[in-house]
Amino acid sequence: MKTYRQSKNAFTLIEMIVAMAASVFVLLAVAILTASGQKSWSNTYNKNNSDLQVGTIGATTVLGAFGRKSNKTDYRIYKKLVTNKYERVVPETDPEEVVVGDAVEFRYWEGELTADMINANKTATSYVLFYLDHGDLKTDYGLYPPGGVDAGGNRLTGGDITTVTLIRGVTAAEFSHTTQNMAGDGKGCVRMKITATDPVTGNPKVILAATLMRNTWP
Amino acid sequence: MYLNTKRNGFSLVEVMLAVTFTTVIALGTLGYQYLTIKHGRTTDAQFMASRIAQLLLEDWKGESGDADYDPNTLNLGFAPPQSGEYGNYVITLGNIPFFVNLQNNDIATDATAGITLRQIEVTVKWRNDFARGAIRANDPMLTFTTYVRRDQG
Repeated sequence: MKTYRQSKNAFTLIEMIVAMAASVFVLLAVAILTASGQKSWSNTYNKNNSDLQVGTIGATTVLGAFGRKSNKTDYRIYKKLVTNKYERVVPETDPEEVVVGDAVEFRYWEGELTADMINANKTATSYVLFYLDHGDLKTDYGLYPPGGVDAGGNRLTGGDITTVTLIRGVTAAEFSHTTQNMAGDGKGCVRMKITATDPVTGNPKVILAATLMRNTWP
Repeated sequence: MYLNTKRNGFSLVEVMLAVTFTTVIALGTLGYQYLTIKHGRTTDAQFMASRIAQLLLEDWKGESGDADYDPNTLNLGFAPPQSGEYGNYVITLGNIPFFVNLQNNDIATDATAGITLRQIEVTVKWRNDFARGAIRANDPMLTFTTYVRRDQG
């Protein structure tokens, strides 16, 4: 009687399907884990390099740099009125009061040393105004006088004035200082509190910074 | 008689090896994710803590390092800490409570000129689980120090 060899030299269809299903399952699991790990890293990277993060570093640096070189005896914190005019913030009752406004104007010396700089009536040659404009924290740079706001409380634009946007997506901007008299002159340290929306998480983010003016003239 | 000795499945050892291998990969990936998120938050916390310390030093220096300087009056969100918590003040930023301690120390005085050199120091601590409560031994912290000249003592 002839004997047929029964041993298998190949996989059956069922074995192939089960093996493929198992492989697909494992591959999917590894792919999902890898993708979510990558997404997590990517979120962190985007958060650290987002416009808000970069803008925050820029705004705090600009505030610090201009504050330090500005004239401690001649700066202004303004409140923006419903009429869109800017009004200097003064204390209500106490000469030494913490007052809060929507904008701050620093005045500083810029350019080469000239005889004009020893003029006791001239307190600065340039200004920078920090203010909130339709959800953007902006700065205006220009000459002083006349400065950033005219006698009627209007923010000056055009001409030699340069505007730079520091942070987008800002929901609130507060500038405060502690006054030393009823005219609203401050002790020289301006605090900034910015509330912005984090583009990655959608959560509000609060940015705090302060700058202390070192220069006094006259 | 014909005995079929060919294996039709995996042995227990093979299956266990495969399961262990897959588990190690999964745990590694999950650990990577966890650490990425945690380190991102830790970086945020360090940034915020240094900004708080810098802000207080600048402002305190503007007040000539006055011993009565009180951040609670600044309308920035500083408040007294609860019992058992560290420092003189607490402020919550990005859902992380930061505990702040202010210290001042007169380190030199010129009685003739009426000038005192004062060291002012801001220490900020926060819990590494970013929760509210008492600071533990391994929680992070930073200290910023500067000096201010106080005329007329």
